Amino acid sequence: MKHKLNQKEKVYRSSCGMCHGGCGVLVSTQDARITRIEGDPDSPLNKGAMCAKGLASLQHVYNSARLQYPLMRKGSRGEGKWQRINWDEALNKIAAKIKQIKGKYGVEAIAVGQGTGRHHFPFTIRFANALGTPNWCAPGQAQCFLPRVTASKLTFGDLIICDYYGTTRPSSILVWGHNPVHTSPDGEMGFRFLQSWKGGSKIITVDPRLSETASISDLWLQIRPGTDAALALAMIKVIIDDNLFNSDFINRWTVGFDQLRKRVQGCTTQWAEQITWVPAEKIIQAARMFATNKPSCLEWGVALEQTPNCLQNLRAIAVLTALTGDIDVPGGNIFGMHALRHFPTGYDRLPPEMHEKRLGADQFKLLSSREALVPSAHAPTVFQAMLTGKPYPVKAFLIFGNNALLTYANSQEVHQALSNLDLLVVTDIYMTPTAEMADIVLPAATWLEVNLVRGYPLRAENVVLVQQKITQVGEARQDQEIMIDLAKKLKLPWGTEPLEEVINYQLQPLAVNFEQIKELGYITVPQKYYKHQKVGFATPSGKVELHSSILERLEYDPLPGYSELPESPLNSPELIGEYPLILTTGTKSPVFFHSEGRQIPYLREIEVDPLAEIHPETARKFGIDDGNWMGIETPRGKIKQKARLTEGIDPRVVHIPHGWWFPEQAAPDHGLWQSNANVLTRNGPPYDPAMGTYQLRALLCKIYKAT
Amino acid sequence: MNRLVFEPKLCVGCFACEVACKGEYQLPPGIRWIQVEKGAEITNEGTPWIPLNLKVCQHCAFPPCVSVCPAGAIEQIKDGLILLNEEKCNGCQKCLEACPFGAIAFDPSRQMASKCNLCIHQASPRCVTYCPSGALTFAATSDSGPAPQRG
Repeated sequence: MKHKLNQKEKVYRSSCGMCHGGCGVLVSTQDARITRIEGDPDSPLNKGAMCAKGLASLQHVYNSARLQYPLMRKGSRGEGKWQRINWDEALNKIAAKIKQIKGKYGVEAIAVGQGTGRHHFPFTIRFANALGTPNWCAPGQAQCFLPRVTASKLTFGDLIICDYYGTTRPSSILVWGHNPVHTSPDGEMGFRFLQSWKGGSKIITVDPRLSETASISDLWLQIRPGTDAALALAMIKVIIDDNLFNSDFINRWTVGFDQLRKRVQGCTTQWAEQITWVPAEKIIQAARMFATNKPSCLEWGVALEQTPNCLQNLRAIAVLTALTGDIDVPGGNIFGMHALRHFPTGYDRLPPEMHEKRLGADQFKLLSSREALVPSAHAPTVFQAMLTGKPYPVKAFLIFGNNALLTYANSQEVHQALSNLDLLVVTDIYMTPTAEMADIVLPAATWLEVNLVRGYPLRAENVVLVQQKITQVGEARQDQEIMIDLAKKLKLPWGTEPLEEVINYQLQPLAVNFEQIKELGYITVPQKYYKHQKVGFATPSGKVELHSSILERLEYDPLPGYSELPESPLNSPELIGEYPLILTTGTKSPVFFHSEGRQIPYLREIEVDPLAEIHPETARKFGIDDGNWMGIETPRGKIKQKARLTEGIDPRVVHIPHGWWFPEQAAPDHGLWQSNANVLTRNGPPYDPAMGTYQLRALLCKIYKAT
Repeated sequence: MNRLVFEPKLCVGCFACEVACKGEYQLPPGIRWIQVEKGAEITNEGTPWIPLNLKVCQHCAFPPCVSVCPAGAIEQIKDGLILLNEEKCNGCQKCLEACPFGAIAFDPSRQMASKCNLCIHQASPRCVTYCPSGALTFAATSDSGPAPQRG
């Protein structure tokens, strides 16, 4: 990893941004051009490791397909004809149109969008609040990570993460709907999971497919997609019936145990076996393994958050974890140290009537009302407002780093909604199918061209990592800087402060400034355990709430429960004849990040085409061979992907990867409709009552051989 | 000498080794000195398992590529390290056919063979440096018999 430097070479400390990040790196430059990127062996979380995506970063930053200049639409919307303009012109035009729409429809008619947890994530919220609109949204808010943080906060008062960082190794790890050996952006580090496994932690994995994590696990529970809460309730009952819970902890530090015991009375392993397809004896085995190999910890993933059962899935699993009592203990589930000062998002500066106007606020209290941790608009309601003008019109969408046509459910409806706008601005690194729909496209900086600090693991913040501007490609700019300049053009009362001022505000508790941390690269705050013994848990009762007082107050079910999904073999008898298989989507590729990365040659070579997984028995039944293009159809639409035959999936289930478009295919679609999983997914009601989550997984589908 | 040692039971199919290698040598598309292959069938040894294999030069003790090369471009250094001398390679591709591991590639743009050199310029091959699970190690093997079988 170390090599000799010549005189013109300089090495910077930074942290990789090919996913949500967390991996410290050393970036070498020669004459201001980046020549090498290596893992930083001293960095506290990755300790020198890097994944395939990070190792391909040079082909990202210097990719010839990158957007380099602002572009203005020449033909009609979505036609793909562009004219280069300069930054000043671009921002002036955007500002003028925003003012016009604001004057005519009110500021709530301007929606602000972004993708998943990137470097500018909290800054985009700040910009929306400064602009005065309540309607910012992102595909992940109702169905990725925020629900986990929410359920964890309701139950424990803060997000729990696995403690891989101290001297005590978890004795068992429950991995649920998650593949940490390939992905690790949300509050944990996959590399550290691997170390723990190699050190001897027992691994129990719940997944409908034989993931790479399931493959190395001691126990794999192959669950029917969408039935996770039923499995968790049955495991809770086993642990209670067998007296395997931590009774000291339950007595002293929890509320609602008796109500929970009553709630799970009927949740026998036989009941759960029928619902989940997991054999009763395996449920017992898993519950015992988890409860008796202590300390144990929970690795939960996005799969749990992508159906209308979202919050109840998470609550059931959080409560199951609480029974072990391994909360804020070495090698168990810990609360982070929250090293940074809370980001100044400025929600308190948004007028109360605007909070009330937020689309979804009247229904989805934990997503869109002021009760939510990070209030955002309910995305399908925003698209409906663009389409129908109800409950009020949304006429502009300012997107900072999101390929909306690939990443929101029901792409065809999203396409119609975007087509209906008066102003669409897309800031991105590449010309995506979504950017092709815009009035103005702005070129965004990559992680090697931005300045920021960020706490990791996300939301725990025991380590603060830095990213610093090392190179410049074309006229690309950091999203935050674009927002600051736009705020200035709009003469907003705040939100115009220099970026470094905001970064230094975040750094205040660490008594360093940005210039200093750029040299350091990272700062670690030592973990403290058993914090509740001094201050209690940060819930209304000060205890772990098996029975949630907040959910009760908001008139949601305060106890975990299971219900069959809206679209499912049991709930949709009218569909099952035509759509006989269960469709699960969204497993992360080890080489792509959602819809990103397909322009990067080293990565694309590894995954040339989207591969749908089906069981050989199913393939035979439908006349499909390994490697055939296969049609996949739901009531929303149809796509094709290549069949990959594997015994690692149930014959009744089909798995397809998401985020697939083909940058090499002709503009303006770039193959958007060919293999995009979200053509098939469902964005209509019923939603999760508290989080507003729609159904991206466990849908019904049919398959056939395609050409 | 040290060789690449692959333990399939530890491989998690993350492809870091491939991209680490490609980046080190800026290999063009189609040239993969090291390649992870994911099998379709589950090996039933008690627990289900995804079979992963690795295609890479084994630096054999008795290398068929060396003996078949008419230009003397593939040389065996020490007791195993097999290096390609690009100046001598005439692009005949006989080594590609001779290699039982399919580990030698042909670079059409340069009209020559292309293969792993174990990163002799640094202490450890870059693929090993970035293997997160320890499936790939750089370890001494006293291999003096026939070409080793892997997987």
